[in-house]
Amino acid sequence: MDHTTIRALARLGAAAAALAVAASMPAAAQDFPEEPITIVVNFPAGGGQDTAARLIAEYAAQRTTVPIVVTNVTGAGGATGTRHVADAEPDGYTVGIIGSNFVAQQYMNENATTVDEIIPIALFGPDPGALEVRADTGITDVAGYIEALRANPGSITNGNDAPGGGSYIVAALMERAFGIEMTKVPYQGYAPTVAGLLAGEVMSATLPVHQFADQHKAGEVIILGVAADERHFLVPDVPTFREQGFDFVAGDWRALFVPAGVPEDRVQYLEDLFFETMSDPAFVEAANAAGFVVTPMRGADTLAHILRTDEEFYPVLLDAGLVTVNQKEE
Amino acid sequence: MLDPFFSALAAILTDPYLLALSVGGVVVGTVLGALPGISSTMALAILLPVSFAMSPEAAMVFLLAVFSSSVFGGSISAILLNIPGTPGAIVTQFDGYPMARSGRAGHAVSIALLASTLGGLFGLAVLVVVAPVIAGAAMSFRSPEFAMATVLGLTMLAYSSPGSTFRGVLMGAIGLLCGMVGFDALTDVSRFDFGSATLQAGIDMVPLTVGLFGLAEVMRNLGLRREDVPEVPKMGSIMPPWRTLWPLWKPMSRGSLVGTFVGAIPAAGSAIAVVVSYAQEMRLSRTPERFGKGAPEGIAAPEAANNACVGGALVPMMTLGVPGDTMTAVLMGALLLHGLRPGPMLFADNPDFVGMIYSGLFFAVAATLVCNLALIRVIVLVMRTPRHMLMIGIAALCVVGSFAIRNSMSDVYVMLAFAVVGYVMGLLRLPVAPLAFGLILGPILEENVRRSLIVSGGEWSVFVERPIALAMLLLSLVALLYPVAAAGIRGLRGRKAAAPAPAAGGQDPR
Amino acid sequence: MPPTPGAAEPEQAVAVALDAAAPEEVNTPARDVAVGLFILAWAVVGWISVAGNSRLFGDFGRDPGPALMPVVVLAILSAGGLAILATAIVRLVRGAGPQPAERTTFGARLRPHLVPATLLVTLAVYPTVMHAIGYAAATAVFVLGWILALSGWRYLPHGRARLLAAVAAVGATAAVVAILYTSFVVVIRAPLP
Repeated sequence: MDHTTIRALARLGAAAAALAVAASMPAAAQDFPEEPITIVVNFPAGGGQDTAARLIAEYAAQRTTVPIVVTNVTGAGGATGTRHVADAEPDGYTVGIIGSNFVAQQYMNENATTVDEIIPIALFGPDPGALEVRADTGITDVAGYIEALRANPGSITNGNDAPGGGSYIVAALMERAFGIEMTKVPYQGYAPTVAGLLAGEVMSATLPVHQFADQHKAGEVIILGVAADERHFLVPDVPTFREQGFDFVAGDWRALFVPAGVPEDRVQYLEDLFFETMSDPAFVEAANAAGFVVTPMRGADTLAHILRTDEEFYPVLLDAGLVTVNQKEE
Repeated sequence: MLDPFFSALAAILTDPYLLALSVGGVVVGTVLGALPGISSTMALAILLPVSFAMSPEAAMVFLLAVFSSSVFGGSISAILLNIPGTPGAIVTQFDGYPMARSGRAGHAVSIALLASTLGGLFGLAVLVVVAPVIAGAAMSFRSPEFAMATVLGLTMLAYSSPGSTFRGVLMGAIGLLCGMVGFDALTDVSRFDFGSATLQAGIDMVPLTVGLFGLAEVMRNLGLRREDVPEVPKMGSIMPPWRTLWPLWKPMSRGSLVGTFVGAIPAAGSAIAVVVSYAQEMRLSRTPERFGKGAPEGIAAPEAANNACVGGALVPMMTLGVPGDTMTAVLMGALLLHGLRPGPMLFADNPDFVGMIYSGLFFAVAATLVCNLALIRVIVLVMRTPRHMLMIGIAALCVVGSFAIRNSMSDVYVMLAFAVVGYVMGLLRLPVAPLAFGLILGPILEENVRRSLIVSGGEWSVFVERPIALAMLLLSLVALLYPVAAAGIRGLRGRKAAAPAPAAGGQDPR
Repeated sequence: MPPTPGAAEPEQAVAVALDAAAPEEVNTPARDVAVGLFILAWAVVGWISVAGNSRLFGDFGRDPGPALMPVVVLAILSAGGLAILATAIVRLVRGAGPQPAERTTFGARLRPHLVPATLLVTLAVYPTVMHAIGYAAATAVFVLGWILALSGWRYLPHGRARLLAAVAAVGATAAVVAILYTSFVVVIRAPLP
């Protein structure tokens, strides 16, 4: 037997194997994926974004034939990692994860990725905003908080992200919605904000619920309200803003995306893969245990969601003087 | 808290799977820690997915083994190659490397190992017994205290690093400048970016230290003519004699204390602990001029502090659910992935698991000691590999290591740039350590100074009104002014006694 | 490394050779001029960037703003650099400091830095080469080339000695590539090209 025959036979075998695999998979994605898929996280390992991505990778890998790897490309408040994905080869093997600060960065950083450079493939879920105060402030509900600030503008120090970050925007949206003014004290990320509130440096915080669930139960911190449509499963005793008579819904969310230019069939494959993964009850259970709310959406809905956030954030950013690039024409 | 601790310890000792995991974690952790370019945080982050498939208990035993051993591993390369494997080991090399070059590599590594063990155990003991108390104290730290703690760390470093304090301060200022590159933490305004996205992402600590210490050292070595390479004396014994070892218990205990308490302050981390304990030993020593030339105390104290920080950093994470540094942030992420949230409720709901974490850390410290004692003989063989092969290997490692930290090529170029800076600074006889620490501590300093002012409404008095902040500020001032005052006193004395000995290196160390 | 004064005692010789300690005597006026210029270079680059960044000086409410720290640090650097430079120039003019024993030509001074500079250049092109031919191959070429160059292989006599050195170099290269590949590609899964 000469070499050509061996090679031909090998090719035949490979083709047969591929056929067998293809038969068990959606027809559109016969040749995809063949290599490991990478999820690029734009924040350091250990944070919320990272934990969410690793959970998704773990469960999605069970539904596909290739490994799913998580890498962290960090810096510039998350813009570096997003830019890394947007500039990657549009072959569908590089997937990114973004939060609502992606929307803000478009207007604050000339190097940030804009929404037309990406194709959203799935929404993981919201990270609802909430309002927490130290127990020793004596404030027990949202109305009391707003009253205190109306009587004495700027009298409450609030711990939040730097301008453009998720919890900053929640605070700014709240100021706008209720016509109040707090003294916003910026912290680098959630953990230092938690420490700041516990140490008594600030009186309130606008972090997502899961950061304070334990302290709320222990009584040190009171979560005044959840800025979502429904109560949060970690603290079912805390009413929403709406239940207390204030129409206010705000917060962060997480979504997966690929760079613009990925072939349609591959986008479809990834959308199916991740949407189905996130709809899996076992996944939802694991994510809930880690403190995440899961409400999966498909690509088109995710894009609509991003655009809605954009409309909501833009006036706030403009008011705060944060819009330096991509200014919209009025 | 002790009952669950012992029962969990028994569980580890009787379960060959957990035992193997812990020992495996120690070996991997030591190696990764020793590789320049892989920090403890990164070692943990890359092994996080590996721990997925394990039960929560097994995952914690494994990750704690990696964590605690990687902290020691960083010192191995600091001592043997003058390249800190992890940023926490920068101070260890001040005395570790001169000691290794004088043929006592075995002694230096052994001292570091023993100090690590002691520090690790001390930190753990504090964690088990008085965690809530420490957590309460740490939580009384607000921005003014953080700011002053960083000032203290920076001045201690300028004071203790070789050469003049003045130049140390200036190098620290260059480090601060480098730390400001990229987005400002409080306003998101980009600074010193010169319009480049690479600089906008900021200068990461790992490429900077790898370039400044690692590649610069390689370049210096290659620049030496063959006959200029200082001959490494034949390696002597591995274990230092008892009379060297015994007096070290004091520096080790002091280092452990500093490490545990400073490590417990969220975000302050090990960087401040190591320099404070090093400066403290120098201050207390009757022969401070031996420091920087292979003083055993100069290895023992910071090394103990560095490892005591592990226990200290776990305190706020376990009791309050606030990770004290990037390493514990990854550990906390691992716990979250397994559906466990650290914090006050974990103690109440799941004391057995808390016991498992504690005993896992205990076992990790013990396994680090045993494994490395057995391996020191092999480890120090690094000193005997042909120098040029070793250096080229390290050069390649520097490149890959700085790429892998954020998976970005621009970090490689940052690393190369700082190799040049480090090389030039070597030629100019300028101390490099303050620059690295300036980069690490600068952002913490700036952020907290400004946040203090935001909260105080612009009153600078906030830094002197709070007693702890004031105490640290005064200590820093003393450290800064001490050399000036000491020189004055020395001058006076010198005139009086007309001593023939020169000011520096006068007293014989032995 | 130039011979340093104060290296008389054998105990100190090691330390000085290592750069671990730089006694005050090492600060010759000429070197201090360089130190001053080195520090001022950082300051100048910093000032240029600060001056060109109008957003630094916006209104940030109660926050003293992102310009505070850069200005303070740059002021310290400028003052310190100028002080060192000025003292050094005064010392140079007065001729008070210990003069270098022998005057050397510019070329001779540059020669010791030739190999380090070459290393830097090869390392700078290394990532580009990596993209072209892959990580493992690029590393192998880089490591093998340098080890051969540094072992003085070209000057060895033909035959056994040369062969031995080549074998050692190939062995070392294989070891380095294997170690790096296992730790970074297999364990860490770094997306290296």
